[in-house]
Amino acid sequence: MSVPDLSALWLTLRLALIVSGLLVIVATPLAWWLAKTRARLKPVVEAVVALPLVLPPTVLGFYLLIAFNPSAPLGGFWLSITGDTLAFSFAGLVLASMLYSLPFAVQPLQAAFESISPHVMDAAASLRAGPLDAFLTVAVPLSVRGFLTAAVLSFAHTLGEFGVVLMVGGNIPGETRLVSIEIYEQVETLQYAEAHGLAGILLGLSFLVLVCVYLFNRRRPVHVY
Amino acid sequence: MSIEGLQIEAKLAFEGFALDIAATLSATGCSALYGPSGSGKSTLLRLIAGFQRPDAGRVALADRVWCDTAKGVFVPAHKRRIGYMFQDGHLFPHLTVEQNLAYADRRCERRDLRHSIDEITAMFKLGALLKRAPVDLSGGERQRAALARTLLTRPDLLLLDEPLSALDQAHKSTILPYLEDLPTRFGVPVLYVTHSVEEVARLADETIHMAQGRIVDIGPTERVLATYRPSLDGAFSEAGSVLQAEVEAHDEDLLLTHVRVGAASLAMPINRTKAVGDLVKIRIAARDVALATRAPDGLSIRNRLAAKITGLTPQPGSPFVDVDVQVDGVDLLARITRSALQDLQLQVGQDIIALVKSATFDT
Repeated sequence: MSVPDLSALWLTLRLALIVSGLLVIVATPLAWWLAKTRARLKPVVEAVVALPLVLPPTVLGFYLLIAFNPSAPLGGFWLSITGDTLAFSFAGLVLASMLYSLPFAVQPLQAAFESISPHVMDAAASLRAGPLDAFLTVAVPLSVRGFLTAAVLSFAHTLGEFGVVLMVGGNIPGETRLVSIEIYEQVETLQYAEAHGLAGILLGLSFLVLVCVYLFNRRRPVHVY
Repeated sequence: MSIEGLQIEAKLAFEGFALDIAATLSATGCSALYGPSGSGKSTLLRLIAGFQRPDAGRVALADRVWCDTAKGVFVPAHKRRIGYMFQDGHLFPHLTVEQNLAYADRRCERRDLRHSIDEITAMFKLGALLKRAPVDLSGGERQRAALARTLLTRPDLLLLDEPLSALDQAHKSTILPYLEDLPTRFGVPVLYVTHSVEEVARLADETIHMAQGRIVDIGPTERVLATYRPSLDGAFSEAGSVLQAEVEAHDEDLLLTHVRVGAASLAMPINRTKAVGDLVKIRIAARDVALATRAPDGLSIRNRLAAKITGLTPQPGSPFVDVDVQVDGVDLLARITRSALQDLQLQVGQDIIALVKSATFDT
């Protein structure tokens, strides 16, 4: 296998890891709020979170490309603090992927939090646990599967990204050229042997990750009484 | 002058339900919040715990104000020093019994107060269960562990939300002695939510009778239960009398325990857990008291008490009449039919014989 193949694979894994890690951190408070709130705004926020599920990736990518432009507020702000542009950069890819995979992190977490009985949280409060204490020592352990699902789904979804990253990242080797784009390139240029290698690795990897998740879920049945 | 007791004023409206309460509870010994489901007793308990905010109102224990909507005061539940036990215990399912107990103990700032975690473990016979997960406990074991966990917060006030209602009779009787002991053994005032008259009669010194979001009656348990005249619709018909009695003797041949009520004597099924001289509460359901104008022949009922009729209350829309009678200064309630009242021509002031059919020895 040639060297550029592996660099694209490495870049993709790095992106997926960073994105799923950051997403779990960002999605947790958002999912908790969605699970607990009775605000009228809730359906609107839920719809915004779910938008990437239905929007064509090109549409999301198009708007992001505009927002990343240095003359736009977001792009300009990023340029002023980092001296780099968001468009066609690795940082831009991370941000775009986080938005694109947001529902895959928020929805499993929200479902997990919603399944926690409010009485259990009341019980924690009656045992002198403050809100953050109760969240970390009761809600999080009871939502382990939700966290795992959120992390794995956003990781896997980022691995498989194509449209959005092509729009905002382009095809810069070592910076924005991901496996999916690399495979597309190879197929376009009729390098089927190379495409086979990369596609096979991605297929195997995805399968392995999912098997691990299902094994874990089977070993830890949910305690309900 | 310092303010005493648990002071509650609360208004709260849900869809189709309104709570409107103003009361001061003694917060000593055991107080029961009693009423049918939907009467608002659990909601009131949640307001006191701080799990729920009132639309308007004030909650204070002695001079500590926990909630005052007029002044914008709200102390969150975890800072109120209350202990709260749920109907189904709510042990944390991801922790063992030992870890559940430690969870409470670790967060308590007054660990040297009252009993240590080892003492509590021993008292509640949890030693063999420590390594078990809550899911592997029986209902009774779970409630025992939950009560122990609650006590480890060393609360100033213990709130119990129907702690027995999820248990079958056998398990209930294993938990009841612990509940009975709470105020004296642990020095914690208890507020106990239940819809069971039996539990009220057995546990509570003071009773708050609730219905439809309001307090119907509040006072000493015997007085509240004696005044209590439930409607006959539905299964909620438990009118009766709670009497203070003294154990006189056990009869091992006939398997009876004789108790003295006022100057009269009653025979009950034997209960060896009570020693001669013990003061006990007994409950006699109104439907288990029959009346006779003269001593009957050939009747199996053994408890025959000379009494005087002090009141007649026909129950509207039902065939029954509640008859208040007095036996040597002790009030007893009998429920007879309108037809019996007519045939016997009963009148207030008349001497009568009260026949106590079922001797429900409650304690």
